[in-house]
Amino acid sequence: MRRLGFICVLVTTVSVLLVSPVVLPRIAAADTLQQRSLFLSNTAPSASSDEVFNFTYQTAAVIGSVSFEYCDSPLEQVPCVAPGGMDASAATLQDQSGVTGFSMESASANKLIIGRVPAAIAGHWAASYSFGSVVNPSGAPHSFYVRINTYSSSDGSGASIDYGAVVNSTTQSVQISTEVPPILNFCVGQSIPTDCSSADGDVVDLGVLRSSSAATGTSQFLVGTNAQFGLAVTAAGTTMTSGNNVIPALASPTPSAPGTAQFGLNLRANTSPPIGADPTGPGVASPSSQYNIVNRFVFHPNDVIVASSGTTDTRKFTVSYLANVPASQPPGVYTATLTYICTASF
Amino acid sequence: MITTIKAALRRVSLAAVILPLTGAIMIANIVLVTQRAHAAQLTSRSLSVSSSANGTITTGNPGSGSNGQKAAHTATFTLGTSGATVGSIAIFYCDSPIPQTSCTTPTGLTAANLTSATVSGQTGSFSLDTTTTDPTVTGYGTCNGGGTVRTNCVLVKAASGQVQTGTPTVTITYGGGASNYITNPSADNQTFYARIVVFSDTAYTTVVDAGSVASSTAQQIDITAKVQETLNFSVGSTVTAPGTSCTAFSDSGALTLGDVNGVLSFTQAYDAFSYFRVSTNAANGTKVYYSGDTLKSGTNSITAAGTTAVSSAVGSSQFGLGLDSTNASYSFTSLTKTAPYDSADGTITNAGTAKFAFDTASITAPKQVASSSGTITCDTGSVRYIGNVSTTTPPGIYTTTITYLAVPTY
Repeated sequence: MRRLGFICVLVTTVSVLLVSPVVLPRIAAADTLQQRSLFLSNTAPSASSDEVFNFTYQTAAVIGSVSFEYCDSPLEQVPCVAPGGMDASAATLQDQSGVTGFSMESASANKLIIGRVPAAIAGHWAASYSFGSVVNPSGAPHSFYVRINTYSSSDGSGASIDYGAVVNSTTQSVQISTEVPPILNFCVGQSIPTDCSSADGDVVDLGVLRSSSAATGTSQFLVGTNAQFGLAVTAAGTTMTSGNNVIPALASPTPSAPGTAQFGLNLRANTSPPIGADPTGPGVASPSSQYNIVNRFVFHPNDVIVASSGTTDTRKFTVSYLANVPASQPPGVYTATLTYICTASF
Repeated sequence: MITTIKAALRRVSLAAVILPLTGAIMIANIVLVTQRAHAAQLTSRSLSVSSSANGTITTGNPGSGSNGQKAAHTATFTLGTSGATVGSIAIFYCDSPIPQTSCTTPTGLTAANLTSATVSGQTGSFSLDTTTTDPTVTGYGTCNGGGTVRTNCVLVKAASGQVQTGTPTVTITYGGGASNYITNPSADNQTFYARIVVFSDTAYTTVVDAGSVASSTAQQIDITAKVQETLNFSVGSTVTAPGTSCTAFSDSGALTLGDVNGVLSFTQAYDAFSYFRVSTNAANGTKVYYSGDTLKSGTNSITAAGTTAVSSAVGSSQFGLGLDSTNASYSFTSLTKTAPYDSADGTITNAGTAKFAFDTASITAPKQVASSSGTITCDTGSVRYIGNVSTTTPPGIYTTTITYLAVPTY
């Protein structure tokens, strides 16, 4: 029996040792603030943030002040260690609702106290307090806690009435980067029904030239750019020739005159002869003045025929070609090759 | 003999006081060895209690380990006399197990609220006796409190004496209910005893066998722990598996939107993903917001998609975001997506099925992208960004910083 008694004492001692470490001190008699949250306008480490505290007072009591203490633990039994880099010393009380009438009583690096003339409130009052210019903790993103206490005194002294903690976290931001390249959207074709992907053909056949009527044809080009200083489209090439025979180009904007040797072009919807179309599309590029006259045709090699002074969205131009010949025009196959060159200035 | 037994009992009593700290069951089953001069010894005796809490404790349900006020007791024993006739059984609760000594009721203990008992193992049917006038059994004790409200004893009997076969093991169980219970002694760590007496008749007169058992109340251990408010919220652009600990993202958060060189095109939309991961014990829900500006290069900007979800518009200046639930890393169990940022699944070809939004007012008033109504074990959100440019979007390096916020409510 003596041995049994010794064993029992030993077992009891071991049991107490096992249990004791998990027994925490009892919390003070404060009630717990409910519906607690902390909203940060900016969660980047070390950023200056606006903070909004929401909570519901629980105890019907005289309330004179509220303290907000920034710590690395929410437990009121654990000494408060301020999160590194935390700085609320310049905080301002920006807004309040529910239980109101507060002003800043004090602000230190990790503790704010707002106070008012003590006044009684009923229990279960929802309230909100907004602070500006609170500098978040520094370092790698991590959680931090704010211990909230209410007091009857106006300066945060005395026993706490209600208590509650909230947690929030600094976070890594997402830094998105991208590049918009210099863009020149330019294409030429006999026709371009929609966009450059639909450009088609490179031959314009004016048919058989007669002295009694004008020969006409069209081609199209589409242009757009994000060049800050705009673009210019030039038409390089020669007038129509057949060996040594030439149909002279019109030196100035001139109406069609069948029976006269003429070669020219413009960028408008003409009626005499009925050929061509006005520019279309959302861009702002426009024909040069000499090529922008209805029923007038002209051609100077290397002329700028379309230009914009800045960026321009896509715009489609229709080039109308006119050829007239006199009865004495030497027979032959007359051809011309025009090369359109778009130069954008970024 | 008595002196020897007392000395032994003092040691066992010490054990019975100490052992309660190690577990109620161990304590409840302590068996004392006693002997009586004029009756055979009941063997294998025990008194099991449903709770070793004192009789003032009502923390748990009746019959549970943390309710000493409405406890159940079970007395088990084997008859010492083979082939005996048994007509009644009395269990006296005393402050001493020793026959021939006075039986003082342990303070606070009362059997007055018992309305039934279950007796098994023996031949014949026995039930709780609430009719017999309180008997006095010389050498063992006197029942008191009245026929239906006996405070210190439990009586069971049959209609008549029942001849047993051999030495059956008898079990008597009583109490443990809301209105049918026995109340333990009111002090912590208090040893108490039950004297079990078996009679051949139904009038508690002729003793056949007897024996005592001990039990004890025990101090309840109050363990307090606090679970603190938790929020684990991280953002990144490189996916890592959450694992069992909901591992946080820890990359730089840098994200390139465009082709392999990070270049946008007016002929094709580009997308990219970032991720956020959250776990919290906030019982009243959590909201996740974003805050930031659209892509900018100096004074030039790519047009924000706006506050209504829209499809990709290839060839137009457009920047937006939305949650893509088809992303392999997306895992919402508690969170739900918030419109208009809830439909970024699908294609981003021109007028594709994926839809995006972006509100530049989020710079000063963060916009909600997801929320939960309760706690979150570990949810991962995949945010999809889209970038389109027009031919007139000025060239340059465009950047923006998007910040994500989590607001748990405790």
